[in-house]
Amino acid sequence: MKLFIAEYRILKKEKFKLILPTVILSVLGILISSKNGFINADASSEQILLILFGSADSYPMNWLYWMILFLRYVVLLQIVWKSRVQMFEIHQLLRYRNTNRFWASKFAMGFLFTCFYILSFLLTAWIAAFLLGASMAFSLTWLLVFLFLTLNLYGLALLWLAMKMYWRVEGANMILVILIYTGIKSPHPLLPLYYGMIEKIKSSLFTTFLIESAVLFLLFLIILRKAKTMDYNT
Amino acid sequence: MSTAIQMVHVKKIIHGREILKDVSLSIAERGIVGFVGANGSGKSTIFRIIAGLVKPTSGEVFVFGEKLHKDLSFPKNTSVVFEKPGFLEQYSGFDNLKFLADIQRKINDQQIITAIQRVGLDPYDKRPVKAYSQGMKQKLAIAQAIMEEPDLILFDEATNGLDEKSVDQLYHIVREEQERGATVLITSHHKADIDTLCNEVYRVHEGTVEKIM
Repeated sequence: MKLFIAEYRILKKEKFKLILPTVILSVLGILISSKNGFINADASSEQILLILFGSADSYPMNWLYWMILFLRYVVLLQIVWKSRVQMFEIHQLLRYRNTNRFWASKFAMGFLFTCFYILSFLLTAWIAAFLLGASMAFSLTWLLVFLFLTLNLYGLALLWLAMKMYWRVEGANMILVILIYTGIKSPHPLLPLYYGMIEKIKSSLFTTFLIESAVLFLLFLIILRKAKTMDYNT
Repeated sequence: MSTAIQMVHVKKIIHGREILKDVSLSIAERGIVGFVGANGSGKSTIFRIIAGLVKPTSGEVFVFGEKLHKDLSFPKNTSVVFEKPGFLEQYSGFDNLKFLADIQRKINDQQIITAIQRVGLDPYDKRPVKAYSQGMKQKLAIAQAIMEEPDLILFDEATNGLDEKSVDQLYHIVREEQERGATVLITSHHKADIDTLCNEVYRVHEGTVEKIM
């Protein structure tokens, strides 16, 4: 826990860089959708949720909302996981004395940021529904969207980190953007590439959860393996 | 006296270039050991290997009897100062050291303050590190290295950016640390200083190591 707190304190100075764009973008996404009439007062809060976070096949115009959500996440993630002055990290590593603990605190911080990021978008959607005068009702779908979107986004984040460590950051960025664009547009993506679109996995929630968790675990192992064997040069 | 560091037939190849060629050495505990050699001779690689930051291509490294990358990833109670100090620029010197000290929680705030004072900096200076001169950053790196009273301290070109008075101050600290019981390894361009300061001196030349004192 103390390692996690130390990582949080280091990141605290970047809070405006992280929080402001997240809030602004979630509001912007809603404004665009509202202005174009995708969401309106005739819909219930759950319908608004599904219009915004549903499959781009069912709601073809929401692909732009998805792109905003994903691309900004990739950019912000690079602030969360950026190398914080190599020499300082060396001093940290020599005190952690264990690459697993060092990386675990980074993983935890990345996960916490992902939760915050998704919550911001969901909360903005909820407020927008309320302000539009939609009939408000909480349903399990909100929780499911939060859970699966967080897992999927975090999986993409780990994939990006793995590619960055084994290859290079520019390549990781490019491949992730291609994957995201293709995944959002494709009507039948592979299960781990469903991009949190809950409609695509309605009939297989538990299986998806298991596959997603297994993918995350595998990515943790791949990253830790590299972290153990790589040279930490200054 | 027991052995602090043992390197056995260590080789390091980076991008096809042999940086270290079959290096073997044994360093006793509680000594001040100097490494001299031209830039690019392999001194820094030796230090990085001892610190566990760089893995040898072949060979074995033992620090205080424990094999690196087998018994442990990084050696116990070890600190380093490398040529280019690196800190979180937006935080004060004290805050930077506090972040690091919080990882192991072996020392309290007063001990951090004492370490900063020992290197001649003001621990109550609230300015962020980005406002520090190169010499001040280097002093902060030295304070970082001594604050937790480590058993092994590696000073790699630690005199860079320091004026003559500060270099003397560093050598004074090195002697104090040895008296406390630490093993100190140091590289420097100032060979005359190394000769007077160290119990043992190694010359590193094109990836090979030879004991010269």
